[in-house]
Amino acid sequence: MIGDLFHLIILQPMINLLVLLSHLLFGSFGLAIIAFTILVRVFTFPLTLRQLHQTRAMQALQPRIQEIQKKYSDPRRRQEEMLKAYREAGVNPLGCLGPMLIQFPILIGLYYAIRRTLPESPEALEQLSNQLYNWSFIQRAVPLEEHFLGLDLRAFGNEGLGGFVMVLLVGLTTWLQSRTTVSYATDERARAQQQMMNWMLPVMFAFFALNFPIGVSLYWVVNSIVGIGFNIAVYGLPALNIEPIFHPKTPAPAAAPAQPGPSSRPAPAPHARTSHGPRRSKRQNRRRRS
Amino acid sequence: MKRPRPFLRVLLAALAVILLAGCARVANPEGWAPPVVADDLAFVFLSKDRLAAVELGDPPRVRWTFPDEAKPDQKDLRFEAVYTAPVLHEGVVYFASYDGQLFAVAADDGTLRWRASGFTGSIIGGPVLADGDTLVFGTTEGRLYAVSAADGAPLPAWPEGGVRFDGGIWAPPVVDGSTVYVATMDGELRALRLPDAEPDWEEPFRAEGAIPDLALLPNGLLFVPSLDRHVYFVDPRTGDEALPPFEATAWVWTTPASDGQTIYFGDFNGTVFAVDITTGTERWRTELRGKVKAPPALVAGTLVVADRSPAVNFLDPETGELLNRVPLPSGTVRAAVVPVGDEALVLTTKGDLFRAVPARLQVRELAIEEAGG
Repeated sequence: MIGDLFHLIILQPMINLLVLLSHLLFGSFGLAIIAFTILVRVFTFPLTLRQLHQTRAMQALQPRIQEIQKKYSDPRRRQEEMLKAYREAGVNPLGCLGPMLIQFPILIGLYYAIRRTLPESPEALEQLSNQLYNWSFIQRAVPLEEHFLGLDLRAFGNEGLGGFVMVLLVGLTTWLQSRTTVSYATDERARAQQQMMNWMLPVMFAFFALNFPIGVSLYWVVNSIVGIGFNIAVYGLPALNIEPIFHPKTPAPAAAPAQPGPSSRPAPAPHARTSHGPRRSKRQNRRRRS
Repeated sequence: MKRPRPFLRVLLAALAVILLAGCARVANPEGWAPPVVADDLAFVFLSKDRLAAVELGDPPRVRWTFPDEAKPDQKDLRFEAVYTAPVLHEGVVYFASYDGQLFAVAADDGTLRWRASGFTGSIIGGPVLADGDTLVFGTTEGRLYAVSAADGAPLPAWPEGGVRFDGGIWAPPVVDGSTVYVATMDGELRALRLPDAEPDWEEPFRAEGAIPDLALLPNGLLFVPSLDRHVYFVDPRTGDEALPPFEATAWVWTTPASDGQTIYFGDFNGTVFAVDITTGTERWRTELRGKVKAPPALVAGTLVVADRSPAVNFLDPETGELLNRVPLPSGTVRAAVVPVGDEALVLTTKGDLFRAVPARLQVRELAIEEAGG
């Protein structure tokens, strides 16, 4: 059932979109993957932008979170206070999950789509006929050109020099994307963990790329490059004096409460999330009015 | 609340991707070479890596298999998936495998005569016999090779490394006299002179879609099926269309059966067509339940069509009426239906062999006894 839904909603449209893009882009499946990646990133841009803003907001909130962690020894109370802090700052700690959840089925779908669209056997091409919409321009577009810039997009990362280059590019672009992402860890331990992840992730993705078709790695590389662009647009790149294009609507780092106590309120953030009143949501305002 | 860790989430997501990717079910090469029969001996691929000579007695019995691990020179031989019917010529069986090997095996005892490899690409189309002593085959990387049937050596007059084409060659080449017709998956059909591989037409014929199969019809025209859902009828002397293209309802990836005046073939929607090859007009069409990849056969006045559902269908060639449909228990059918006297052999992807009997409109499985069994 889930498999059928995945096939109907994700895989089949993806296969047909890739075939269509390839048909439009001079029969090049490599260009089709690049165009597909950019299309996905453009359509999910609002979510990505929100995620980037949320990350920045999380960073701004860290001093206050640290203070709460120091202050409350009771885990339940600590959690309540942290939730409250997040709510008042307009931050959703799970906000970064949106784009991630979208990437997940896309990655799986793309893996299958590439393996099915660039058949590795005559049987696979024969079965591809079941996946194609009954439009003549789609039907006549296959089989697709499996080579792009001298790379066989069907080959795996562990096959030949081309695969090795793609594996390196996957690692490099993932690392660069990590480097251009703002970090909201403030204590040493968390920062060290994050540093480690900044290195671990590219290594792991490069390892994964060894077992992926080069076409999927191409998607990942383009995806990371676009992600780097988004990061720079939102966070800027201080090393090169590049200012952010999209300025975040997030609170500046909040000061810790002067006399923190169980009942004390945190210092107001200079930039409240909404116009519904300082640190109030629409729902809170409705409650106040009623 | 714990501090969210997006990197960890990415990692977990990626791991899940890998796990799911590991479960990916992608069609592996299995082959769809049909059996070849001579003197009640059928040469059949009972699996994707095993050729058997089967005596068609009652019960049928395996005489030998290739490779045979008991034979020292075959102990380390392996091949994977064969897509074109073996060539049987002067007591030798020739076949090529998807992993790029060409074999010559003695028909009487399965002894290896020679083996050739090192070709660029996988072999789907061919080999076919030309001039009685040359084997011609194409590869998925768009190379056309011609080698001696005696020892597998390349023809000296041909370019080293084969003749290069822009598209992959999936259709077995067609040889007529000293001309080789080669279709490619980028939709081109070319004619080459066998002795020197020089082009025989000024311009290739171009279809709108890939050409996965090719056949020479009894009236001398080339049957050119395409994934653009058309069949083209091409004059082999000029490379021009001799008849208007025939429009099917889906991909056509098969060769036809023929009675000399009418051809019969199916498409991937499961529609079987009868087409008059003097005019190119349709005589009838019949819908089946499964798509048709396997070339059909005319046997004892009945059209036998195996579809992918899988089933064997008996049709009246005059009207297209479905006389009987016999479902097969497992696998599917991609290999051509092979006439043997008043019956036909049907090979499934599971390596099961069936005998279709048009007189009774029935199908029965052949329980093949292994050698020494």
